[in-house]
Amino acid sequence: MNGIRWGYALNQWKPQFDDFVRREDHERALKTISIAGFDGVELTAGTGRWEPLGNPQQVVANFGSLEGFREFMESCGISAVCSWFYDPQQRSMEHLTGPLSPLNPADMDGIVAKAEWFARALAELGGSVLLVRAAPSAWEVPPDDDALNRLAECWSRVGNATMRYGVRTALHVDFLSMLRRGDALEVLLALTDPSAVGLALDTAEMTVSGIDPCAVIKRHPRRVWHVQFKDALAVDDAEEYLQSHAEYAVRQRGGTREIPRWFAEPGVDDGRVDFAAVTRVLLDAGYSGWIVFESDQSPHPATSALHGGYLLQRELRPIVAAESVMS
Amino acid sequence: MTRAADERRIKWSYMDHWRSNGPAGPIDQWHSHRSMSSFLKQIKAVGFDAMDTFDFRLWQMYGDYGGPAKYQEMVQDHGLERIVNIFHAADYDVRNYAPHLPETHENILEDFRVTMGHWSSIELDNIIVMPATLYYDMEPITEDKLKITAELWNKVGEITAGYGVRLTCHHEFFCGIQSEPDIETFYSYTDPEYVSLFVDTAQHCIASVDPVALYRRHAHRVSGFHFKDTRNIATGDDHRHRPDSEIMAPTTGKWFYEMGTPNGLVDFTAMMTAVRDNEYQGWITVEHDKANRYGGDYAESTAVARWHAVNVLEKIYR
Amino acid sequence: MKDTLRWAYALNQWNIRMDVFVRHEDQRRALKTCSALGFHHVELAAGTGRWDNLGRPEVIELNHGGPAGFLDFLHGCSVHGVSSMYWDPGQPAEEEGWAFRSTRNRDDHAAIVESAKPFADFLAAIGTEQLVVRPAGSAWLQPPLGADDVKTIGEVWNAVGKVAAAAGVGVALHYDCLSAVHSADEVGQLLAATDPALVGFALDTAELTIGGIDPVAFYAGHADRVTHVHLKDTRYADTGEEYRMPGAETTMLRGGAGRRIERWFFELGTEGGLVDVKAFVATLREHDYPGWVVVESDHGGNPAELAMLNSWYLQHELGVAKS
Repeated sequence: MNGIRWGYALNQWKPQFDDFVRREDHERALKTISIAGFDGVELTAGTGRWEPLGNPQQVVANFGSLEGFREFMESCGISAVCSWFYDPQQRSMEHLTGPLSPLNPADMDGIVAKAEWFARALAELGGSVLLVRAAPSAWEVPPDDDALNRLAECWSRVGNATMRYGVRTALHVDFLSMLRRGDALEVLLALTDPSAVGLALDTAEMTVSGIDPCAVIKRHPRRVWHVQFKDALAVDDAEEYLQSHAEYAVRQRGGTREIPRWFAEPGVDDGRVDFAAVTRVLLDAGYSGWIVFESDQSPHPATSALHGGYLLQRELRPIVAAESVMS
Repeated sequence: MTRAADERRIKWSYMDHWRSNGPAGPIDQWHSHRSMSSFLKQIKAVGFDAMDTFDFRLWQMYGDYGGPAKYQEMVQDHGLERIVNIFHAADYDVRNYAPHLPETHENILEDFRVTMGHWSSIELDNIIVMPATLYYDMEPITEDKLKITAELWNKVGEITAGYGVRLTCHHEFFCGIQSEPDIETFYSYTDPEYVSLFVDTAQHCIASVDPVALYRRHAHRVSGFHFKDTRNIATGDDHRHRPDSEIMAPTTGKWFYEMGTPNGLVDFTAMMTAVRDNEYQGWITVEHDKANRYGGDYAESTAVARWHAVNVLEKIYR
Repeated sequence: MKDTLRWAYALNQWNIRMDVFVRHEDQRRALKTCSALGFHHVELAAGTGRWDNLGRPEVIELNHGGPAGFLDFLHGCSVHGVSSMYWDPGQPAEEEGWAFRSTRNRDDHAAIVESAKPFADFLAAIGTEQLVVRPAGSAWLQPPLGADDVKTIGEVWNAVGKVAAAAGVGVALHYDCLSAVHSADEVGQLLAATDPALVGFALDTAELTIGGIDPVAFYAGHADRVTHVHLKDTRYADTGEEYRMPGAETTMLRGGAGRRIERWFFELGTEGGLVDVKAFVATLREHDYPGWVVVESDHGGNPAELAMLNSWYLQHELGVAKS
């Protein structure tokens, strides 16, 4: 019997800072996700009063308590916040802090404290994984040994800290990440404590990076602690991620080819990820945990969720069910 | 001296809240040079003379265009005159940025010293501020707090005046200074030389303050306008709703509409008549914050608002 | 627009589905958008039923009480009038018992002429100059044109032209990229088969371009017959046979023609546009073209945004002053 559970990431509903603020917007999204066949949701960290689901303080301000939010979710047919994505480079209005860097030893205490803040809340919300943006973008910092050692130290500390709440820390590597360069990711995994730090495998970010997600799972079957199923519509084969300000120039604007959209929900036409194949490889690797569908952004969030739900129900659940019968 | 027949006393600027549909969902015009060009073409096409923006766009101006002056060149390449006003959207916080708390004043003054330096490469008319924290962070509103707040803005106004820019106050319905008596008290303590009033027709209307009467009382120190409409007046605790009133007030999901909307509560004809009676000369800014909510569309709201300006308001005064 | 040319804007881009653009408030917003952009005349498109309430004379009258009421409705939005109305007699209408008629079929001619009459009368009553018509159905729906077919089609349009002329309205045959009258040669034959005093040509720059006909050259060769213009751009041309795909309205124009083309029609100034808009407009000016130039973007995207971009192009690239 495998322990795969299916979630959906809410980030696609919030394309701009003033979207997805009102309760009824959350309710409609959660009900959509639930009826599409998903059980949990992934949140993205945010700050300020227009981010009601952005951090524990805002959740409490909006729902009275974490328990209140959980009841609200359950009333919409969602059982848990499976995971929370936290990027330390984001400032915090709640803490009056600016961007923190896992490369800066002086920031480490602050990162650990914030990670614990999220982990404590996540545990109450039924979740088990804190995703962290593992490293800054490649154009900002080269991944030399010193940098990788500092990252390893930071994330090992974070991982041990969140573990106290029963929450595992998983490194999320995006296609702009400095960990995409050379063998940096391999080195970092080797440097981190395998009992404290795992990998959040994002199928699209890997694919856009030119990395086969199945190969990563096969190489690190015990390190994959979280999976995001997101489709990729193009590959950054010209290494444009090394351009300065690639967040805007490449990710947002699509680089020199003006790729209109790098990412989409699983099940989209022309997607480059074979989700059935990835599911089989995960089963072979004995993966147990959440698989979170994500589109990142979408011209029509509800349609994305329903297309994802179709793929899940018609194709992926049967694969998982067949595996359960066999085992 | 008589004016030439085609000389205008009023010019029209457009305040930036724009959203359009991108391939992966709604984008703002700062998304790319292409979307910026499309935005500028659209507001020019309907006949706006210039634009206003937020000062948090500064970083995009530097990152994408080489700074405010370079960005303004792009604006001008599309036939618009310039950037007229900047809205200073600060993160009010009782710990470090609260006009009614003197211990936060030095932090605020320093913010303006830095901010004005950033903008010194272009000519601005106004820097617009919400003069108080959120209502719930300031209440109870006392005369003492209003006086302390006024003292701060007098000092800030002196800083901005050093850059040739007027400091002007925009009273959101959910900020600490929104009721008629509190607004009056606040202005009684501010120095007209350093602190101006920026009349937002919808915000005052939502707060049950008649924007026309307010303008008539303070016309001599009004340095600009946001012409936008609303269909709802704040009731109960709407103005002090935690954690947010602007988007999350229980009674109303969308407060703002473009001028010319059906069932709008602002009397723009009366407003423009008052503008004429006071012989105001300068800029009026059109705004329709969050127009894309509930199926709305910025392009259309912009065209409809501009239609109203040309076909109704300019017949009264131009 | 203040210009030697007369500019109008087509409302069809707002009417993207059967259940939208029905409420008067929505129509007012579109009209005000056109007006704010300098377009004070609009083109209507025929339709059917109570949700297409700008689509037929009797439905417009039901909504506005008659021609004067309709003009009041337009004037209230600072739109001065209607330049033209597009009508396809091959499009079945509820009001005519869903009759399926073809201009190729002589047996249908009397009914077609009869159904044109109320349009002509209404347009005359609101001061509209042109009834813009689809001369023939889609190519994929019918066998190739035979020797007599063009002559037959010409006959009905001469008859409609006569009825319209009696009311004071011109008739212009609109080229579209799916039409059975497809090639430049066939269009030439059709024009030859019609009476220049009664029937003109409605030149659509994007449709001609998709159909493989250069609009600038075509206009130069037929300037005396062009009485109406639709100005819009496209980024694609038919490969030569796509218009013959079964269900081309859907499979080609909405289904991507097997090439995943998501959108055929674009605003003026679009990147990669195939229409040389400046050269075309210059040619119109050289010939002192007297008719309406209707800017159109069909169903290409956000209507207000497209109208704004089109107006910008007119003002800044074609030197047209906004009135």
